Amino acid sequence: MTTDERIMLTGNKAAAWGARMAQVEYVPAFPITPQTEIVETLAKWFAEGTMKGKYTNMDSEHSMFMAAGAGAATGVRVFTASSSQGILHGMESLYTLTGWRVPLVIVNVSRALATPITLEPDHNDVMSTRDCGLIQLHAETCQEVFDFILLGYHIAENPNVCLPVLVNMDGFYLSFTREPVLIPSQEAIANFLTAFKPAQPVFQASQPMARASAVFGGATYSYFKMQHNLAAYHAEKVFNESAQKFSEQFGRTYEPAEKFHMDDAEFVFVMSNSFATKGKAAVLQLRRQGIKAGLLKLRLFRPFPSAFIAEALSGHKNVAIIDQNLSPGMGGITYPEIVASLYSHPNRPKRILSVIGGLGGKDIRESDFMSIINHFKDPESPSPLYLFDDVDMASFQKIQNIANPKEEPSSS
Amino acid sequence: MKKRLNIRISGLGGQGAVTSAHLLAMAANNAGLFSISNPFFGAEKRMAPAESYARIGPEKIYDRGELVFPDIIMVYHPQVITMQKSYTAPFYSGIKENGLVIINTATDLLNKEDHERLDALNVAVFDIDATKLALEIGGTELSTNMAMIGACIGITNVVTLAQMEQAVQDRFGKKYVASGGTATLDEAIKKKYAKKEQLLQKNNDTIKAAYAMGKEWAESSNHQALAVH
Repeated sequence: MTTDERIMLTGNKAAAWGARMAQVEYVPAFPITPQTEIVETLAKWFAEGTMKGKYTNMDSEHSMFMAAGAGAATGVRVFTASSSQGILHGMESLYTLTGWRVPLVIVNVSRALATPITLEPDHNDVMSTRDCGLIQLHAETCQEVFDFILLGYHIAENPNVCLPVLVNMDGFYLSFTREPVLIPSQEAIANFLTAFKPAQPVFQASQPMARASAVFGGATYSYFKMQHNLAAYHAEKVFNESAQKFSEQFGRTYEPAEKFHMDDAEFVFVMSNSFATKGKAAVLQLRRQGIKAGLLKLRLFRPFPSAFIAEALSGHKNVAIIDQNLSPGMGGITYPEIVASLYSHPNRPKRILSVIGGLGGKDIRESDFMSIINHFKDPESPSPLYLFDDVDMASFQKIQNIANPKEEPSSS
Repeated sequence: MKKRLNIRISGLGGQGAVTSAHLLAMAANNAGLFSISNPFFGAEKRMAPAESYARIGPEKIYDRGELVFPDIIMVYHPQVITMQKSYTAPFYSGIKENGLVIINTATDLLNKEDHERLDALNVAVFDIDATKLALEIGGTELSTNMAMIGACIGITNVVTLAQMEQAVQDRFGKKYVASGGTATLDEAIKKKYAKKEQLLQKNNDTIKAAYAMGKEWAESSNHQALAVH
């Protein structure tokens, strides 16, 4: 491919294209719905010789992530992808390889966690990796999936970061959704992303070394953790620099969070990933009705751009933080992070409402956004607000009646 | 194109409902329109309910996911109606006023109540025996989805036949490239390529035949919904 092309791609295909155009050399893989199309596509490209290097099917996500980390430690550019239960199965490896400080890009295709089992998205899977020390970028569109993979390598391989970058996309809503994606030429990409030059010594047969030494007493352990922490914090600056270069090369500008109709907004929705598109549609609809709504879309989630987010939300009266995840017994996971970021800000919002919705892929409808606005109007209304209405209850009861027909079908 | 067209396709696993939503979106992209398509399914197995959605419009599209309020519903298999193999019951729930329903069937599958409810919304219903067309022209019932999208664009003109043919070519066509190996190998590739070309031609012929039927029906029925442009 020599010129920029606008093609219809699913999120999964966009991810595979991202790895291809980043000229990834090693892909350890394990399939899981809704991610499989990514590794399937890469397998084909490696088999055809379109991609040079090695593709290996592993026996589990645990060994897949270990292989990915070890591959990156030999100095090659590595890509891998998983989802949901797969991420959980590989969790031990994720902590291990972030500690190794190896750069690579991992795509997570969000799917809600069992039990009960489902295939549709929410963010408990990606939130479970929140404290691993990965850099996290959350994508709203198939274009962002592609762009964030290129951007991801640029950040991960920065000598002052040396950490894996996880690019998150929603299952179904992005993974299987086909929309136009601009694929720049390999020449243009070469101007942005140069060949991987490892900042650390690489594994070589002639130069044995260890990356997983045991340390006791805590002082050495703490030192490593603090180094890791500094690198993660520093990644925000690197994100901004890399995004600036990306914008100069490709014309698409990415801030740590996206402001949508924020300037005069009296009601702000904070959202992330593909459902932010639904939020944007609702903002436009509310504005047509004369309600000054706006939206802040989280994009860089680790490191958490606290100052940027506090700045963006300050001065707005009502802020609703919509979490598509649930920490039972506490509520939404991003809510306390945003509240903490705003706490010392002089001009912080009067009301910050926690909203839980979109669990297991449940749609967030236009009427849900309206009910959030109405919730603000009542000063006594409780937080969090759970987006689960009579229609949802009726659809649950329908299933319940099928499962247990002895019970009186009370509502129908 | 002045306003958005939302298309919901209800079919069964293996019928190509997902592929045809992609083709509609790709053709719209070729036409310079905004488009987005996505599927919904549970278990990935044949004959299980499978839905797909195509949103096509003159402006940037902000919504995604399940299509609750479609302008057009296409039913790819009678069992969607007769056995309720559908994620939405009845299959036409949410259809917009002045909408359009295209059903792959040889006989009327709707009961009196269905007809009354659709009439009240001024929804037009076009029955087409797409499987028969697929068998006769495409040579396989797997071309049923081609007949259905042919009928859809014949009625609505949402994209032209040429734009759809291009989308089919982009999706399934492969340029013949000499392997640079032996003549026997080249011959084998050529043969395979020729077979594929033949298949593409049959699919395009199926689209064309259904397109003509849809167009003729639209012109004779003079329904308000059918004037997309």
